[in-house]
Amino acid sequence: MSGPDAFVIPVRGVGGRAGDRRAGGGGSGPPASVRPLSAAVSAAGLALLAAAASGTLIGRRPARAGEAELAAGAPVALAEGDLLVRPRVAFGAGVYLVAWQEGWPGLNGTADISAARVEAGSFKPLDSAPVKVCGAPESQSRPAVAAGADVFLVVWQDFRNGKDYDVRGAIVDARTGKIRVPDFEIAARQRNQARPAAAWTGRHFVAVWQEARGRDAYGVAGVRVSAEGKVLDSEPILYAEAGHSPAVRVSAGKVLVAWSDGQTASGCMADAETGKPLKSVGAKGKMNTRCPNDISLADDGQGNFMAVSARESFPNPWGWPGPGAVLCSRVNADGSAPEENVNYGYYLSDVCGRRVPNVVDTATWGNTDRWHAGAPGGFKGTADGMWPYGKPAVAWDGRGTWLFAWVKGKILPDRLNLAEYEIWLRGMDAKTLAVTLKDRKLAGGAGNEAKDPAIEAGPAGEFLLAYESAPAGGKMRIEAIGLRAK
Amino acid sequence: MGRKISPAAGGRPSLRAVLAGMAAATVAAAAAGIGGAAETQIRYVDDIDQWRAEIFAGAANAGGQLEGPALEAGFSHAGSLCFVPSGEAYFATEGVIFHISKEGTFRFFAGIPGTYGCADGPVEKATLGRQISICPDGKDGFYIGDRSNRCIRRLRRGDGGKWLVETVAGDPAKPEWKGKPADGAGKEAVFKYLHSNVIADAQGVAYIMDNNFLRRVSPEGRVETLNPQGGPGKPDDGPLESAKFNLIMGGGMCFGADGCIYVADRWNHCIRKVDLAAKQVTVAVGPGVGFRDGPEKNCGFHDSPGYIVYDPYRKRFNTNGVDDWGLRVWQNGEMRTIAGGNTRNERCMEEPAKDSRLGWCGVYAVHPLPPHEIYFWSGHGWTNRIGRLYRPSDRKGVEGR
Repeated sequence: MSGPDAFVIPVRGVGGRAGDRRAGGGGSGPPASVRPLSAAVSAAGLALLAAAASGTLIGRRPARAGEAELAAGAPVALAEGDLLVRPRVAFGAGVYLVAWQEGWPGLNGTADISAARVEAGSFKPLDSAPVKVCGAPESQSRPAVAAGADVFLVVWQDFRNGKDYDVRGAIVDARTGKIRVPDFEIAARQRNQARPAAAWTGRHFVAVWQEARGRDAYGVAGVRVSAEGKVLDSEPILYAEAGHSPAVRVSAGKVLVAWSDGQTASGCMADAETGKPLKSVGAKGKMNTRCPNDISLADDGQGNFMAVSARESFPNPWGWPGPGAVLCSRVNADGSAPEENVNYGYYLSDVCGRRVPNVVDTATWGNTDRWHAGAPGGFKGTADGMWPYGKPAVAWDGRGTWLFAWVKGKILPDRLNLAEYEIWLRGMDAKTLAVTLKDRKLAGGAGNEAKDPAIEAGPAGEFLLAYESAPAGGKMRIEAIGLRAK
Repeated sequence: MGRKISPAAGGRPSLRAVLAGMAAATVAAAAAGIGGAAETQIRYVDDIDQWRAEIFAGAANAGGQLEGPALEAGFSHAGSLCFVPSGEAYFATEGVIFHISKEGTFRFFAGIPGTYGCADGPVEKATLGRQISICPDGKDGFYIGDRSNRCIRRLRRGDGGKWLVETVAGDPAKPEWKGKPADGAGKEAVFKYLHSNVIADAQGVAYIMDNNFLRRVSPEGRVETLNPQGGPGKPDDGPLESAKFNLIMGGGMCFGADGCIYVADRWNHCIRKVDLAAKQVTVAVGPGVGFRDGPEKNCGFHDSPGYIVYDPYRKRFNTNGVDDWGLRVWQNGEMRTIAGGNTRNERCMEEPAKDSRLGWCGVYAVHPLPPHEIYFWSGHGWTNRIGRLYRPSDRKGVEGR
């Protein structure tokens, strides 16, 4: 039977949190019948809980009429250690590969990149021990991973020269889990090249990163990398003169490169064959204008993309930094960006009031629907005492719903800090952005913080969610939870 | 001396023209757009035309914490910066301490990037709060004023020379004090709100403003409130024991050459002098409002003074108001402006210092090696950067500059 860590996420067809005007009965959202995940899951009726480690059926209960469900297995620890952070996941050749940073990346420190495979369907770990992707001297950190035909490309930022970051990568065999091409240079010029990401076009990988340009600013560049670990471009391809923290995704032969630029989440479409930029997304290259941090991308396999990003402010006794928020932004197959011109109002009040369509989560000013920065009496807290910290991720369920995961923290009494981080999940309709999967906590909380989720779709409506877990007084873990829409 | 110029004198060219060639100028300009009705009165330092502002560190758009060369380093909060005699620097910001080599390479030195907490131990396992300040502890280590955790931490070398973090005083598990501070040793002591920065003397005794109380922390972690009969109130001169301050998010402090502590008493709009030997507290500068230079008893800060650093090489203090649009110098009984000051500055950061647009700025520290540049932070185009002031003539013949 289901253990204490196994749970069912009930989803009402008209779900959504209180105050969400696009969700819930009587709201302006579409009827439940047009919400694909809800409809599909309603038809299934039952929740199927998979025990991740054993793959056995561990729980069933009848679904109530009109209720859809997403089943979640028990968390599986892929690794345990003093400092394990930033898991990233990709799916290919029937397996998920989760890669993470292990160790501390500072002066006289050592951080390495490790990875482990998880079997699709059963969500069973396939490797008896994680594979060391790179254990070079100094620090290797912030990994990203992309799935090719039967390999994975793992990329990371590398400080082995003790002066600046380079971008390096390794090829992991999907079927054996072994390193097929060890540790090779992708971008190793002077100055910083950092925060890489990668995607597979069907013929080669595209690896992107932020690199120091000009005297004191970053831009976004990339190269193509073959499945054999060969860098195919002698000179990096420039995607943005100004930008940082890029993400890249491929869908139906279309390549989206996205990045943060000041207050803006920006992007361009690139040619899948050459890797070269084709045109900016939207009219001005923007996906959204106020929520630029930690962009994560997913695609529907038809050339349409979803970007989710965060506004990573912290609480403040007077509310000056504004609300923390997680917003989603679509990029359609034709390159249009429906959320590029959304106006979020003074101090993002229209985000707080959820008067704009693309809010995944937001901090609120008490029970009000506006943000009252600097108001007499100051900021007393949010309605539920929680604050969206960000670190969002997104995946496509194959049936019309984008599935979002992100981090929320409990606001501490000083109204400056957060703790007891949790990972939450929400589903939103691809066409209307209506809530199809009501917000639910998946992991974390008091005594066992969970942060930095990564989520990737596997076959037939299943997902793997990976995250870092920090039990109080215990060692950190990289954990994974299998999710399945029924 | 300068002269007053009406803001109605017009746009930037005429203003600049009038100022050109003047050793010191007084500019009267309504602080339009800044929110203050108080008259602005600027008197630049005599050698203002020699001072330059430049970016020392921080990329404009690093996107969070990054190691690397100074101009490519990433950080997103002003934090706290201190130097050691060798010229190396330590920068405390958002849960980590960066080490900055003499060559300007930023490396994580303590704390876990992206993780906040109060775990003691080796620097690679220890966690720090988000809002932290740092200063040398006089014993080859550092104190960390950990506002987020309401405690004083220390960085020191442990067995084998490995650096570790330990909590000296305070207990994050305890709620903040109410009414009066709780003194005692180590975890017995309770803090409430640690202001801008911790300082320490050569004997390793630390001082910090906690709410409106001046707390002293011995190297062994015993905490004593020096103004137990104090609290919030007006800046009356008198005994230290009953001295009152009016601090909300301010309280920068430093030692002067006289061994006294100088506190930016933000909402009393003045600089206070705490004479530890005589146990007396007096008003040293102000009180006064508005960005007004002039005699120390007839000058002011727009909003309120937030930070103060003593420059032992030039024998003067660097200070400023929290949302002043310039950096100030206090010397020989006068307040002067050394950078910024003109709200019409908007072109470029790296300019002659008086032409650089500053705002919501503050001074960190003075470099211990010649040419003793003055390090600062600021809003506007300086966000996510560390700036410094220097005179080109001082760099001549100085290696590495």
